[in-house]
Amino acid sequence: MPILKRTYIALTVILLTFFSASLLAANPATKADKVKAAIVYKLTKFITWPEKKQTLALCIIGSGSINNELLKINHKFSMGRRISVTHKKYTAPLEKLCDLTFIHNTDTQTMVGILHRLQNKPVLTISDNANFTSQGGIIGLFRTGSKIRFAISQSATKNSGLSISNQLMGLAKVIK
Amino acid sequence: MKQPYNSLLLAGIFSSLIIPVNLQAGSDIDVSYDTLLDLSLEELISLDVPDVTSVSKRKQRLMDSPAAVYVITNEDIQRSGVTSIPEALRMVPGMQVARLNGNTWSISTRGFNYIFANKLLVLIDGRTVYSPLFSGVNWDVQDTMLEDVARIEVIRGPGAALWGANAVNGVINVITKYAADTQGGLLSTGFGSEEKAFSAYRYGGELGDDGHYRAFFKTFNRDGMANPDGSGANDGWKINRTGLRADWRTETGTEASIQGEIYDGTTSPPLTLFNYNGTLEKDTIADLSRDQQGGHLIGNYKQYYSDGSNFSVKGYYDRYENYDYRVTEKRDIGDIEFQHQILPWDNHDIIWGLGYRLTKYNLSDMNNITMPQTSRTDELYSAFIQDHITLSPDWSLALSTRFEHNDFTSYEFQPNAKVTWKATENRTFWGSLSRAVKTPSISETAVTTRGINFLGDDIVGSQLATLSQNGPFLMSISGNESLESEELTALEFGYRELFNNSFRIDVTAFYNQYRDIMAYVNANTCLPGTSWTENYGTPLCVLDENPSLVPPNLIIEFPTTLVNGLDAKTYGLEVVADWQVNDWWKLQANFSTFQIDALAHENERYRKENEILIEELSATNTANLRSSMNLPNQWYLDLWVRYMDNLTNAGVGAYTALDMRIAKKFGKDFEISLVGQNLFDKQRLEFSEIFSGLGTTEVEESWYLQLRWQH
Repeated sequence: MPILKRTYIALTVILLTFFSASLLAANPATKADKVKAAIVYKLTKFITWPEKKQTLALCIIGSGSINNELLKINHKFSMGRRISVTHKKYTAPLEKLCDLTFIHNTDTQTMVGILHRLQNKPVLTISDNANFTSQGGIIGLFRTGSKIRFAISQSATKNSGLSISNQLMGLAKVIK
Repeated sequence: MKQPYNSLLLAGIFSSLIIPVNLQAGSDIDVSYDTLLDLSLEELISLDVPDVTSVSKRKQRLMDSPAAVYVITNEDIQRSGVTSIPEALRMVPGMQVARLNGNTWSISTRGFNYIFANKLLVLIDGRTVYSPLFSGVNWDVQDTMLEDVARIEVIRGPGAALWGANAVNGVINVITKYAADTQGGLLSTGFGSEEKAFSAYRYGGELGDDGHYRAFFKTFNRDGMANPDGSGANDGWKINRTGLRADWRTETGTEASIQGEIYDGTTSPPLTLFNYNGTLEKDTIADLSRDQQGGHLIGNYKQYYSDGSNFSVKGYYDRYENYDYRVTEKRDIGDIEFQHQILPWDNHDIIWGLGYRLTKYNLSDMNNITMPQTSRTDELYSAFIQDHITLSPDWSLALSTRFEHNDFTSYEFQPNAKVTWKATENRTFWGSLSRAVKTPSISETAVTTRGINFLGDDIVGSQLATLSQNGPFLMSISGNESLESEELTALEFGYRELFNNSFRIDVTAFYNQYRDIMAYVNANTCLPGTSWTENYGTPLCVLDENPSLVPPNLIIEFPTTLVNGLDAKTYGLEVVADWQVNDWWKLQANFSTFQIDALAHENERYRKENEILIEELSATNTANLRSSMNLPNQWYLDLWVRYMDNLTNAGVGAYTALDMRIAKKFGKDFEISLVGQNLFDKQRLEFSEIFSGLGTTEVEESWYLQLRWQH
């Protein structure tokens, strides 16, 4: 009898919970997502592309809660350039469509494939994947303790033809 | 009249939870997005961003994995209020966790639920804690500072191709945090009715530019559980444990870490054994202490290269000492593993590795247990390879296999093929076919246990019962050197979908075929101290001549030995549904159902016992529902209802249990919480068994108060 009673209570709870809140909110972004998205936005202010740009096309590759945060910088201005944010599949012709890419939540193989295709192209690659800069990426976001910092690969920057201000290099962990 | 009151109280709690739908989250995020954009880059990179391992990130990756993976996050551990790793595992769909006494658990998935559940591989930071002596896990010494556990990844189903032999029904990976994520001080302390007193302190700091460290100390004193008559049992438990970890991670792609832990504890498990040398009766020993000591040291090195490849080397040493009344056990394990990941062509991702493990055992002071050689050394060589092939953007195939050489059964071959179809961005189907083996353990091949198991009159028959009216019917079990591995062929299918970024469903169906499972059969040879006789109409082994040992006071021993004597089929379904109702309320539910059918090879005396034993070990249905709420003003409320069907073999009825945690944070660094476990159930039997001599005690309703302070 006690078992039955508890089972009923459990069932009631399940039913109540599934019927009560009809308000479905999106998966909440973490604070880390928000900070990373803000860093991505701020970074662009220190980068100069070989061709003069009116707009900066930011392509997001990979899915996750940070995407909504990145979409919030859509239409914001960075040094007079209007940012347009879109989500792309990794198979898309990224070198034609994007001025900068944010790659996340991808397996190593996909990431290496993308970096390979964007090698020597003027596309700023940013990612929070581990060891991004040692695999040919330009800017890697990483965590030290409770802080989020970024590393810049000098060789990848040079290959891309982008120019990065010394001020930014000063804040970054520079990888030769 | 307790029940109506309970229901009312519960109803009150739940209804009060359901009304305030429009409450705001207890503000975890204090800086709004727009203010973040106004900060300078310098300010952004010096912001404190606690590492709440992004749930969605993890789920995204889980979405695509071709296995029944379930992850217990650090948050799940903290917010459920569990105080040990075994208790945390109750959250996992289909994981059947039952507590035999204060420090012994039976934990298994997909059947074969026993305190010697020998088909589950458990690793803590890559170090195996599977005991080669009895092929199971000494759960009582598997612990660490739970606040520093990053996650517990549980793979249900075979993982042998990647993880090695004995990963037959599942793999549990306990992964602790990087030292960089545990910086500063953390004090966690409290007291309660079962958790009499506990305390843990950790401090983490930096080591130069690229390194971090942490050190911790943890101690607890748990009360004994309850005897069936309600009196306090004597199975209290204390352990002190200290450990440290240092990590280096450079942006040039090098990772290294060193970690170590030592522990020292004591417990008093109640034992019921036949006393061969004294009383010649079943004696219950309730006040003997069992001391346990041990420790380990792990080193890890990993290097990433710019072509996406990487290699790693890991080595560890592990020491375990267990001063049990039945046997004093001292074990050393040395292990070294090499792993290399390469991306040779566009669509192939290959991982291969080599491993070597040396295990040294020393057994002494044995009671009711004998082993011909008291020390032994066993070696294990292994090699594995996995190729993950991306066939198209939506289809991928993973082929893997492992070769092993062990000292018990020599070569083992464990292949596996998995297919994943990503139907849409948020919908995945997968299928898997695998073979896995459970290799025999030292106790199954070389140990004889006597006077630990007893047969009932119903099995023995009334004729013999008249010969031995007072004494127990003893059963001995002898290991068998020629045992082969138990084999599993497993077929699994899975489906996962993420709806609207807020509702996730994960369904797995499995069909398993086991061959050559171990069974005990009549041995036909009497052990030393007993003699063969046909004087009583039927051949028997009786305890040696002694003036008092004549009918009706004979003491009869039934010798048995282990053989690969059973086949079995199991099938089942596991469903997980997680719902982020809104930004302050999360619901996590799961359900599992399981069926098993066993068939003995030979029609002999214990055939039925063997079949029934295997068939009745596990519960048919289990379910969990957890609710996590972030209420206003930094209040947090968590509820956990779990259901477990009856365990026929253990004689345990179905039960529903409720745990609850209510916490209040003060600022960022101070938290006080009250946890109630097994509420509204004064005491409850969860398990019982006859093969270890361990006594059974019951779980009690309990409360504890905890304080956490970070600085």
